[in-house]
Amino acid sequence: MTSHAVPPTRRRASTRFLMTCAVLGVAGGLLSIALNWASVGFATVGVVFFGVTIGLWVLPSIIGLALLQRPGAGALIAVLAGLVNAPFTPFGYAQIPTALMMAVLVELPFLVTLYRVWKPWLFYVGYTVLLTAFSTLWFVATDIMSSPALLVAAYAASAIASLFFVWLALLLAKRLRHAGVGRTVARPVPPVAASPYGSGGATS
Amino acid sequence: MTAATTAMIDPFAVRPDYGPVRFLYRLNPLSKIAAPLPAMIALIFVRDPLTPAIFLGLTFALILIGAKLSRRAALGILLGIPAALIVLTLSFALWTDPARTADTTNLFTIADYRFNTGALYIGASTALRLTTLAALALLGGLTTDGPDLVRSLVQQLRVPYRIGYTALAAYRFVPRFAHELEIIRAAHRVRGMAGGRGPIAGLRRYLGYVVPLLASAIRHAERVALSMDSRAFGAHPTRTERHLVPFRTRDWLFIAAFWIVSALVLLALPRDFLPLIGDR
Repeated sequence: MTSHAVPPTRRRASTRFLMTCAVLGVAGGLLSIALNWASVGFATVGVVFFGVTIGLWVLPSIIGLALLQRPGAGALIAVLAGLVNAPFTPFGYAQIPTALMMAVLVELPFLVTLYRVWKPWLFYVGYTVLLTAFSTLWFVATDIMSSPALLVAAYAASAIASLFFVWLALLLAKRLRHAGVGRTVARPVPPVAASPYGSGGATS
Repeated sequence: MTAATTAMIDPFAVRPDYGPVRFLYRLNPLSKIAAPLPAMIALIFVRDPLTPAIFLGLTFALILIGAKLSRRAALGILLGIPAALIVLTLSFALWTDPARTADTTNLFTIADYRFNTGALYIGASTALRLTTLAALALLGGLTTDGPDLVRSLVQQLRVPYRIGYTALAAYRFVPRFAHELEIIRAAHRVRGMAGGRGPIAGLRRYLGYVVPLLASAIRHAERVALSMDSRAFGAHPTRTERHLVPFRTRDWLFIAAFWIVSALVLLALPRDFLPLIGDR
């Protein structure tokens, strides 16, 4: 055996992983363009908009983590989404710090479990707690804290919406897996129903 | 894709330069993010209307001098921001708890609801804060293009170039998405998957595009990755760059000047004459 056959000592992300994240990042970017303009329109109707839709902003990151099950997938997708949507939206590159915050946020549930658990409960519990907590930032910025009733309503809406978006992300990841993409990147899963999507029926 | 949007996302397009007066185009993308950042963070916590108003004025001046605006962008900024300011002020004023402004002059009363001048004051503060945040963001957003930002992330912030090139590839995937969407829509049409008319059917139709679109885009990405690997992408720890994005003295000066002015506005500005309404 020559040294050519020896795998590199430092494990690094494959190009395939990076490019798959790029695609999901673009999807997130396109979604954020729509959301950014919607937020401009909705800012006048309700300041809760950001808090409620926060799960939608990180939807591609959650899909990426569920599909690829690799450390860093969610963070990379969040940052790429921020980079892609920036030229087309009113907030421009000032979203990058927010994108970085989102990047840390989406990785947290898996980071604290050292990337060993990829079960649906972790997605649901982790993101509902984190996204609801994160929406506090917008509630502070818009002074909604002044009225306790509004605050409780805003938090409840944020939590319910987050649960829904996690469900949607897991569903989309499952369907993508059915379509046959992402398998070569994802870590090998035992053949017994150990995937984070449960054993749902065939969908197309 | 129109020519304008293609140019915006073309990583190899020539960088625009409109002379020394339109100086924002000649700054490094990172400095245009770093400079307003402390002011933006401070503005989240500021509660009076004066501080954001001063920042808004300064940012307006910088954008009008330093950026070459298209007619549409200029119209959007000069009319859109004041319009947003008025609408936001009124809507935030209506959101404000009347109990907090009970000691200010009453403007009108509807049943139990009392609308006071204090509510208007709080509404204006919040509206100014949000529009100023957006305006500070526009400073860099209007005059930076994405690939340049990515290049400066790699060249100055030492982001690993494989990550940087992932972002450059992402910019290239945007028009590819439009292309894929056309193909999928044609495929659905040819199989008669219209699903009826009306907004609900339309929404269902678009939701039906999501999974095929993502799947085909990921397959494309996997082919791109194979192609990059076969060209030895990432074989070496460093690489050469075709486009250099320098970080010059002028960038340091811009950041320093912006930070000093921000500090002066935030710390040295007298606020004693402002009325005590709400939290303050």
